[in-house]
Amino acid sequence: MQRILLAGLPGAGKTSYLAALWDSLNSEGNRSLTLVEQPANRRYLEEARARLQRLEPPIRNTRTLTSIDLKLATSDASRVDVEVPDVAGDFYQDFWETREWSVQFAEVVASISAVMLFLHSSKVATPISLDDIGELATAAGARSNIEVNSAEVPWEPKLAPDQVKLVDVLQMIESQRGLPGQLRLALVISAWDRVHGMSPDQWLIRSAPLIAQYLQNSAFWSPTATFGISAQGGDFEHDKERLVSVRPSQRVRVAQGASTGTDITIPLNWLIGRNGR
Amino acid sequence: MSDTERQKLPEGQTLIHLAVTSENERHDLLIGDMAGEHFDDVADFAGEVPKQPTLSRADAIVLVLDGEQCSGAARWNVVARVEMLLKSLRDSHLVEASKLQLLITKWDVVAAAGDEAIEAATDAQRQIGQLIGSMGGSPVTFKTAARGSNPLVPPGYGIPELLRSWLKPRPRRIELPHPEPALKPSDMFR
Repeated sequence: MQRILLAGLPGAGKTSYLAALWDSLNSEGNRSLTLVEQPANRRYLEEARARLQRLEPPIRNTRTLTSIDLKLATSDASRVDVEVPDVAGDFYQDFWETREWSVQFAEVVASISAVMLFLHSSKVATPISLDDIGELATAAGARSNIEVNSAEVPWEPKLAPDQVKLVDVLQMIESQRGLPGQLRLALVISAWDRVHGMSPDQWLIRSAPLIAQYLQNSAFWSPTATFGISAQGGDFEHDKERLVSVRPSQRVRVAQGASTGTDITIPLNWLIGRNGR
Repeated sequence: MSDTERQKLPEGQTLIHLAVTSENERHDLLIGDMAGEHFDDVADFAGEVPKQPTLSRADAIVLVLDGEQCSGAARWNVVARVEMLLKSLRDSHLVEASKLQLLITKWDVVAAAGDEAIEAATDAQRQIGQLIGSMGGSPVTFKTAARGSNPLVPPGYGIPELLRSWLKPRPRRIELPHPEPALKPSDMFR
C-alpha cells in the first residue's frame, strides 16, 4: 500500500486534480495507471467529477480529511494499491498560523510514502526585486518623490506568501519524519493553461524561487519532479462554451519538462516509483 | 431541468402491475419504478446491488436517459453516471448484461433541437452501448416521446416498440430449494 499525501493551501487544485484523475481512470485512453477495481465508496469522487464537468468550483472541503483508496495497475500490469489522503487546504493554513497539527494528521505524516504538493499558478505572487521595481518605475516615467497613500496593514501570519507557508509545512513534515529517511515529492503547478512559453521547472525557478531553492538543497525531499497540470482545461468563465461539451478527462493537460500530454496519472505513477528516479 | 414532479424516495419497492393483451394473449407486466436516489446509491457504493433485489430478478432493466440532457452540454455527466451504474451492476455479478435496454426519453425535444442534438444523443447512446457490449450485452435502444411538443414526433412515440420488447418470453431462472444436508449441524453433537 502506497500512501500519497495531497498537500496545498485552499484553492490550490487538489480536489480538481482528484476529480480529473477519477474521470480519467474511468475513461478510455492509454495511461500510465489504470483502475483495476472500483472503490467501495465513490460518492465523493463522483460529486467532484460532476462539478468539474458542470464547470462549477470544486467541493470546498473545510477542515476535512478525506481518504481515497485506489486499486491501480501499472503499464507492466503490476498492481499498486494507493491511498490518497485529501487534507483540506484550511488545515495547511492552520499549520502555518498555529504551528501545530492534530494527532490524526501526525499519523498521516508518519505513514505517507510520498507527497504531491500543489501550487496554483495564478495565486503565487511572483517576487519582484527592488532593481526590477526601479526599472519599471523609470520606464513608467515615475518621479523620485513617490507619494504613498495606502493605509498601513498590520502584519499577521496569514498574510505570509504561499511559498513561505508551504516550505514551512514541508519542513514540519521533514521534522516529524526525520533523517535519514527520504520522501518523493511531486510539485504540481495547477491551472497550467494560464502559463505560456515556459516549462514547469522554469516557472518554479522564476515564480516560486523559495520553494525551488528549498527543494534543490533538501536531502530529505528526494527525488523531486515538477509538473504543470491543467485539470479544468481552461478558464471556466471565459472558455465556458468550449469546455462544457468536453469530458474532463479529455480537457486535461499535463506538462513535464518540454513535453505536454493528456495523461494525468503520470505524476502519480512517478510518485509510486514506477517511472525511475 | 425536468418539469415532472420529482419522485419521492420510496420506503420499499414499488411495482406497477399492467395487464396487457397482444394477439389475444394476456401478458402481466410488473414494472419497478425505482427512485433515482436508489440508482445513485448503486452507482456510488459497492454492495448496493444486492440490496435492490428487483435488479437481479428483473427480466429487463431499462436504463432511462433524459434525452434533453443527453443532447446538451451536460451529456458527459449523464454518460459518466450511467457508466458508473453499469460498473456496479457488472461488479456485483448479479445482473446479466443481456437484460439491459437503453431508453432515450424526450425525443420530441431532441429532434426539435436539430442535427447537432441528435448527433450528441446518439454519441451518448453509442458510448453507453459500448460499455454494455463489453459486459456481454447487446442493448436495443428505444427513443420515446411522452408529450407532443414536436409536430414531427407524435405523443407516445416509441412506446409500442418498448412495450412489445417486454412481451417477448424470456427463460426464467428457477431457484430450486436447497437439498437437505446429509449431516445436520446438530448431528455433530450427538
